[in-house]
Amino acid sequence: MKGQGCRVKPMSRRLARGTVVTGKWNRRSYTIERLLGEGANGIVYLVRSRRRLYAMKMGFDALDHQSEVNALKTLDKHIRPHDPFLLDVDDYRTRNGSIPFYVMKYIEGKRIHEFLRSKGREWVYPVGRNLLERLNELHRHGFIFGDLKMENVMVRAYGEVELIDYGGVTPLGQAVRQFTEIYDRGYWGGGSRTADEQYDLFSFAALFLQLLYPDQHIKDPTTVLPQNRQPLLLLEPLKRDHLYAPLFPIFKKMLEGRYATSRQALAAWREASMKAAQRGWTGASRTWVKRKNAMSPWLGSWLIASALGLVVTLYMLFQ
Amino acid sequence: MRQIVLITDGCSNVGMDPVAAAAAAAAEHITVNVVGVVDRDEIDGRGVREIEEIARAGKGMSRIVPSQRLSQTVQMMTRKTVAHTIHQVVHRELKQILGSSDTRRSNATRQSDAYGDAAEGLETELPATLESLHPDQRAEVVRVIEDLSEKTPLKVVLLIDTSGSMRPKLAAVRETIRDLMLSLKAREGHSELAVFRFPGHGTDAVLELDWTDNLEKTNELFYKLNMKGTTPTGPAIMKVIDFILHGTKDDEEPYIQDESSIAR
Ligand SMILES: Nc1ncnc2c1ncn2[C@@H]1O[C@H](COP(=O)(O)OP(=O)(O)OP(=O)(O)O)[C@@H](O)[C@H]1O
Repeated sequence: MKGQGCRVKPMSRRLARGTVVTGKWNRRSYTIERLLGEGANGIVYLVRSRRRLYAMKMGFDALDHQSEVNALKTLDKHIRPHDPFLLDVDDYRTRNGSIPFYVMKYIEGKRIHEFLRSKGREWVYPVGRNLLERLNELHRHGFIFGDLKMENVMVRAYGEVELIDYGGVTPLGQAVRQFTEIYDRGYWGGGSRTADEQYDLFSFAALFLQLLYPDQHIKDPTTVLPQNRQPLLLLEPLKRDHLYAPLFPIFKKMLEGRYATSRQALAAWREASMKAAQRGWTGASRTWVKRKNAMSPWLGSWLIASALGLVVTLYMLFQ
Repeated sequence: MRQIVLITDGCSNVGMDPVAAAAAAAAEHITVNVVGVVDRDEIDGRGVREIEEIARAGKGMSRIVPSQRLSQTVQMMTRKTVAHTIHQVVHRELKQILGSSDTRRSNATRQSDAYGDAAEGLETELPATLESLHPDQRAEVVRVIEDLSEKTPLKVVLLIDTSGSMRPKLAAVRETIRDLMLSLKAREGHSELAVFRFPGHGTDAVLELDWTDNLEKTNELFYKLNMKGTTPTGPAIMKVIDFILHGTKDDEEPYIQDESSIAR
């Protein structure tokens, strides 16, 4: 866009591979391996320290960065006291001043959309379930995730879900810190921007509907006029799709904010997964393949038997 | 806490220097943030510089964005401004407690140049103050800042340029007001919003929406607009300062210019 160019945007200075970053306070050293990504609040690198890999986030803004660190610390303390995600917090002193950074576990996995694209559609059920579990874990400790979106959900090889980027984590009852319009309940006219469990569930539904129907989804939300923005608009593509029929009532309830807790949503999701599994997972084609395989030996022997019978009958007739 | 968010797409052309007006706001502890909305039309160097300088004088932030990003930008600015204003207060207290005055301003400014987009206005001078603390203390300080930011009462005036070239962008502005209201409502502290537009009937600004915390009213905005082509940004800011400090008086009366002596 032309307009964006009118302020000269200084190039973010990226650190080159091999740069050694030593913390000002804790004196631990990390070697930059490569860039993992860049978000609104900072740049994330893959780093190495004593032969092990970690992810390092360098913040743009000390205050925002520290908020994120605080959220991570609290979550570590409550949710995973023996296996923290946040490993080091420090500053990197450069010629141009200090840059705050934190070091976290490196999550080896794919972003949720890449995972589902490569693995196939039946993985929607277990991945959704695992993500709901993650959210529920946060909710039980008095926080919501807030900025749920594709870029923030990583999936490991067998569908385990890890949330990254805790910039949106908000204590229940406060104003949601960070959000993305297309997943935001307020934006869709589905309710307030106050942090409650339903807020995350709304984003969850919006996220999954986008994952399931990437082509039909609203790419640029600003093209939808405010008066036309209705949460249930997001459900439209699912109406024409039988594959995920068991999920329809769940998404609907999430968009309407009718689950009292994420625990209830999780229970419903598990039940729907069972139902879907009984229907032969989601793929009609797979069911068909199975049945064909099961039928063919029997069909084959029946054919052979009847052919033999015919030969015998003919033989006897001609005798 | 009081803020003005100026939304415009070009240069002022009549009346008092808007940078001076912003300085007057800052002196009254009113922060001035500025968003330049630029779609297909270009903004010239002078416009960009004016936008940046108004924000600098008003101790706020400035951004230039296309209209789809307007609402997101305004809501981010408002939130950050609250946090940073509180940070300044907390920092002053801390300096007294710790007895150090390590502000290393030049360092911070240089860092922000190298470190890109996120750093501008407010942010250029603030990281240094946090960064001088040990990470553990920093965590505590930020916790306090966040808590206060969430709870402090907040008043925001949106000052909207409705001169000719802004007309196609008013839908986005309406959306921005609705969206900001939504975010303000979610805060724990009581928040109110008012809207002014300029040019008004004289050379100054007109109150479009008086202090409210109600979402419903935002749809009725900007239907009767003035056809005058001037952009009296400076006088409009002065009028808003007066409104914030003294409430509504006669809206129709043009702002009296002799107070521009504050500026120069
Ligand atoms: N712990 C991690 N392990 C592996 N990859 C990571 C990790 N943390 C971040 N990344 C990668 O770096 C990218 C940038 O992460 P970051 O959390 O800064 O922002 P984001 O999610 O892209 O956006 P935003 O901050 O705007 O919400 C991520 O999308 C992800 O691909």
